Amino acid sequence: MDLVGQVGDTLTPQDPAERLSKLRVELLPIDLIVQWRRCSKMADFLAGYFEYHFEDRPVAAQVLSTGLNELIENLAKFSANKQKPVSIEINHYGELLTVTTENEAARPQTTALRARLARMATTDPEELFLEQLEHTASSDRAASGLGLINLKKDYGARLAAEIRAVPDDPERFVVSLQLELNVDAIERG
Amino acid sequence: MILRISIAKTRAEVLRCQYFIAEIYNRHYQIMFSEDGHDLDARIEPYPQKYLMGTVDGLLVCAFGLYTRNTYVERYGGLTDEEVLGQLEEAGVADRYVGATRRELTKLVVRDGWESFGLARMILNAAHSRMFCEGDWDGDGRPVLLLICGKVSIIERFWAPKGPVRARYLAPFPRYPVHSEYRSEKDPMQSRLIIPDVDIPAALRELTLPVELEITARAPKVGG
Repeated sequence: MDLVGQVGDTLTPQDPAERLSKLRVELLPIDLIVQWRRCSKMADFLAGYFEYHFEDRPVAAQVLSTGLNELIENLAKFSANKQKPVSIEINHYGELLTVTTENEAARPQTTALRARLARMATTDPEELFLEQLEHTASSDRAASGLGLINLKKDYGARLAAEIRAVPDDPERFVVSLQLELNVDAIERG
Repeated sequence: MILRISIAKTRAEVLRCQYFIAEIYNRHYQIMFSEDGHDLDARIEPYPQKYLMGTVDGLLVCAFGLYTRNTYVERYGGLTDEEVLGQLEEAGVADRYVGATRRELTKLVVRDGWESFGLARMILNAAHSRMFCEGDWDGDGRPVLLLICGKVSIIERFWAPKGPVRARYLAPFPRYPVHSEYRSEKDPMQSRLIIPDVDIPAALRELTLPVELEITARAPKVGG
């Protein structure tokens, strides 16, 4: 199965000239594995940095932190080489805020992500939420995905990935995962 | 080659042990670590407070940890005082261990590619040295009892009957999702007790650390 290509929701094309803010962080996944609380600390820091763009700062910080925390945890869990830097980039375009993470993942994890994003893009978020709630309760709290589903359900967030081949390694892929949030939806709570 | 086994003392040594253990545990068991909070259902485990490190020419090749308080067996194993007392009474040493503090040997790891040197057994045996496991880390001077938990196959391979130290059966270890990649129906986990006075041979208990040991790679087993 060819895993390379785009998968997930259709994202809004962005004009770099419209960008208001940008923050990019690069880190080693092993740092997160060694102290797992760093995931939430990093999410809170980044959310706090961008909350100033919102009128309702506490709500914005909470929404952003929820999405960021899940993306950062996924970076740590699904990076094939925990010593290889991964990145988190946040861009604010006025109407939209995007979070993009990039890492290298092994084939099984990339296959699973692709299937999950495809399903998330075509399934009602309420249904997904209930499904995931059941799955999480019965088996795996570590890989809940509930935060992102919640953002889709409550704030109309869109999620997509671009998967690229790694030269000379058919078992690894560069995964660029993007979360797109509508600023107005967050403001409306 | 010379293996140097020493107690991690500086902050840099402790950090190296933590990164080393976390990297290997994550790769094999998808476990994460935290000093701020732990949650076995979410595969987040606590770190040991002390570490024994094995180095060859400065390269960290094996490590072993010690919970000096809040042991895993007590927190998650449902260990009762009665179970411990029963073993102490059976050994006839209950009076010597009144008010004993409990510590736990944990998180044995060996660097990839170094498995054929028998490092696991060497650092595990050295960890029973009084200097490491009974060191007065908490400064309260109480007698020390040692706990371990692990798969039966691992316990029986490294402790008695194949190893020099006796580890007395306490109880089966409860099931947690975090151990799903580790334990199995055929190879369950148990909690065990080591009574230092009785169960650790004097040569190991009085071993002075750091210690240097010559190591050579074992020949591969014929037929796998």
